[in-house]
Order: sequence, then structure tokens, then C-alpha cells
Amino acid sequence: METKNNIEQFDEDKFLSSIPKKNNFSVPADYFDFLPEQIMNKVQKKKKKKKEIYFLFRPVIAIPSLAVLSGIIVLLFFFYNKETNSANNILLSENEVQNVINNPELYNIDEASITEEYLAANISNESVNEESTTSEEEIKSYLEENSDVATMTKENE
Amino acid sequence: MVISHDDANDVTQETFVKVWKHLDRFKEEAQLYTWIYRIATNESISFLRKKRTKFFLPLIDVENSLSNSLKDDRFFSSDEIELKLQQAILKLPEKQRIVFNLRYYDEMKYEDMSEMLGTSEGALKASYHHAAKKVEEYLKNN
Repeated sequence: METKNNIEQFDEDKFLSSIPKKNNFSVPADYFDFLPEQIMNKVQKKKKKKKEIYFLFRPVIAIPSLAVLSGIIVLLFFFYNKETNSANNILLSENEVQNVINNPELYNIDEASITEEYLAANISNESVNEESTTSEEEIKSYLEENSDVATMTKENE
Repeated sequence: MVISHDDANDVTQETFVKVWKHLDRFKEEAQLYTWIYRIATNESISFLRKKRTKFFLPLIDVENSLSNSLKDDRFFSSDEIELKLQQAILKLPEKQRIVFNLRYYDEMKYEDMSEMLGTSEGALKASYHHAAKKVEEYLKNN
């Protein structure tokens, strides 16, 4: 109660009342003549700014730009995924590489079948036909050079 | 609150812009002048806070720089004791400074102040009491 009274009494404190109470701050002579105009200019500027921002939200602008933006995002997402997938396909983990090396099936190679497969795949019919175009004269001269006539007549008899 | 004329001009303009903009939010339960006072006080506080963050200064440095700029301010005229009183007020914590300015200079009723600041009358009286004590001590020691 005593403290409350002290606080109430403090309003009329002698020390502070000994100091002349006046407003030491002043304003330029015509300050208040121009203040309303300055405030209205500020209000107008803020309104303009708002309009400029709202312009972006108009459906004519907002819908196409949103569509373009979402298209770009989808494309970027697609390309990014494609790149990472192909990269993931190529790269094998160390364990996978080790499994491939340790696989015994890998060393069971049937050379004959591989050669056959290879020839079948690489020698085309045309090349076979080309070989068969050897002339009769070439065949005769080859036989004359390489065959033994005596043994041939004996065999015929 | 903000001391410099240019800063006070900015705060005043911003206050009236907000009053204009949010006039529809004004409830007639409160008095118009306390509502405007409240906006002005909040604007002053946020202005000083922005100033602090803009220059990365702690609270005390802003108030010190304001205190030092008082002497050279062409819109501030006073004798020695009035200058010291202003410097003493600048040393007060934010809330006490507001209460002291409203009570001492504007002679606002505690009832209106309570409505404006959303603080009880008792707390405001205590705030003013502490502020006045600090001001008195400052003036006696300097």
C-alpha cells in the first residue's frame, strides 16, 4: 500500500518538475503544409506497387506462365531421371563385378560352337556365291597341276 | 522516440499511411487518438529495430549514436539540463522510455496508456516510477 502511494506521489515528483517541461524538438516552418500531400503520394505509390504485383496473378498471365513453368519442371525431371537411370545401368557395384568374375559358367567356352555362330553371322550368302563363280578353265588347270594321271588311270582300270 | 527529424518524418508518414490503409479495422471501442498513438509507437519501435539490424548494431549503440547526434541536430534546441534529460531518457529500456515519454511529455492518462499498450495501469505506474528514478539518478550523476 505504501509503495503504491509512493508511485502515485512520484507523478508529482519535485525533481522532475524542477526541469522546465517543453518540447525541444521542432519542425521546419511549412512542414505540416506538405505533410498530407507527402502521405497521399506514399499511399498512391504503395497502391501502384500492389497493382504491379497483382498484375502477375491475373489469369491471363498466371495460367500460361504456370503451364510453361510446370512443363519445364517436368522436362527437367524427365531428363534428370533418364541420365541417372542410364548411369545406374552402366555402373556395377563391386559385389556384382566379383560375382561375374567368380561365375564358373563364364569359363565353359565351346570354341567350335562360337566359331560356327561367328561364321554364320559374318559370312554372308553373297560371299559364298562369289567363291562359286570360279571359271571351268581355272578348275581344269588346278586339277592338271595337282592330280597324278597315272594313279587315276589305274583306279579306273 | 527516434530523435532525428528525418527519421521522425519517415515514421510519421508511415503511421498515417497505415492509419489510412487500416481505417476499416478501427474498432470504436477504443479512442481514435489512442489507436493512432499505438500505431505510431509500434512504428517507432520497428523503425529502431530495423535500424539496429541494418547496421548490425546492438541496442546500446543505436541509443548512444542518437544521444550523440542530439547536440548537432538543427531541429533540437535546448539548454544543458534539457539535453541531459533527453540523454537520460535514451538510456532507458524501450518499454520504460515509451511510458516515460507518454506520461511526462504527452501527459497521457494511465487509463488511455493501458488501452493503447495493452498493459495494466499498475504495471505502467511502476514502469514510470522506475524510469523516473533512473532519469533522476542519471541527471544527478552527470
